Amino acid sequence: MTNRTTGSGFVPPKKIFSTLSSDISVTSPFSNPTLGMVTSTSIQTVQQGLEDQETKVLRERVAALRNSPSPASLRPFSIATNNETKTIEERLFDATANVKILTSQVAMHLDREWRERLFQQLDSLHDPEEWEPDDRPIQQSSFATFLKAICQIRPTVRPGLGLSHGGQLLAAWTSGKNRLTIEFLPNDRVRWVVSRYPEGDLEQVAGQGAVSRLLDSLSPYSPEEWLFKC
Amino acid sequence: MLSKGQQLLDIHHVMRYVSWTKLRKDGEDNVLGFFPSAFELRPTEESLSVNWLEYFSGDHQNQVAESVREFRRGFDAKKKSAFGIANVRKVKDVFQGSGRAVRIVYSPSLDNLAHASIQKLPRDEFALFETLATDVFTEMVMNADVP
Repeated sequence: MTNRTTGSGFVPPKKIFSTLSSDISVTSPFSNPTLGMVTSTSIQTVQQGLEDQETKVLRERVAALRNSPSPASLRPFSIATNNETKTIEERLFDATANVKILTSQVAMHLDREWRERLFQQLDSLHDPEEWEPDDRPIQQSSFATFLKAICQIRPTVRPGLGLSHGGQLLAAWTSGKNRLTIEFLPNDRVRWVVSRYPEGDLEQVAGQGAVSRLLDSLSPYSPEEWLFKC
Repeated sequence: MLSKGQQLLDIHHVMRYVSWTKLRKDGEDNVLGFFPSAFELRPTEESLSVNWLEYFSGDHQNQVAESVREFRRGFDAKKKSAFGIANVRKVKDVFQGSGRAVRIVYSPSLDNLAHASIQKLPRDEFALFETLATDVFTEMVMNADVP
């Protein structure tokens, strides 16, 4: 077995504890004069507590050494089992839960407020009171493409969200009459339309391609007008 | 008055029901218009359902209100849904410009006497449907605003 971070052989947790303990700063209860006399039993208890705390710190450090998942490594997750027997409410709940779990895999790449608002938008899109029975809830493969785009572009302006009949996510950025509309497809594909009125008449440009090329593809059309606040 | 199967005139108007998921919004869920998916056919659909506004008498405002009520007779129009309104000529022009001729035909049903169908719509034409959303269905009425 190989240690992921050092390339050396596996090191038992106790060994790691002893080798790294000097690096770990822990406040000792013995430095507190109000504690008074302590018995051997209480020393054992306190030592156990110290060890637990150090182990916890150690665990956190090991976790920090692991690479956090990149948006490109997103994999669909499913808590749904049998869609045919589920009510619309259950299907909508499953769909939103699945994409929220997917989001949690890249949570470190998203601002907390941005993420919370995104969840509200997803809940709003899947409001059972507004749902048309023939529509499909959001598809994870589409949402994974959306997350990759957001983590790559990092827009400061939140898009409005919508769905196609088939459950592909649509994102809209609107600046006056000018619009940018993107549909997020499975397999990291996107299609987009820029609509502008430079001299009063509609001018439209459309494209499709890999999500990794989205910003480059939009660059001739002033994407900052929609995506980023000045 | 048109007969069933007759094409609507270019000066006429059609109204399309648009559900919440297909309404264009900003990041705060304020409704701004329509997504292209509002005008796309479902895989099982052969034509796009709309209402013919001039079926109703009175001024434009009255026709709009009557058409919304007629829609409601046929199905459960949701609280946050909206209706898009477009001129027939403008709808046809969008598709003619790209070499496709659509037909807009009066096709009443028992539960919707103003029903019309947009026939021969292409599928999977994201940019054309965005044009409909942006430049053709330019009038919008929220369902909640019609008593």
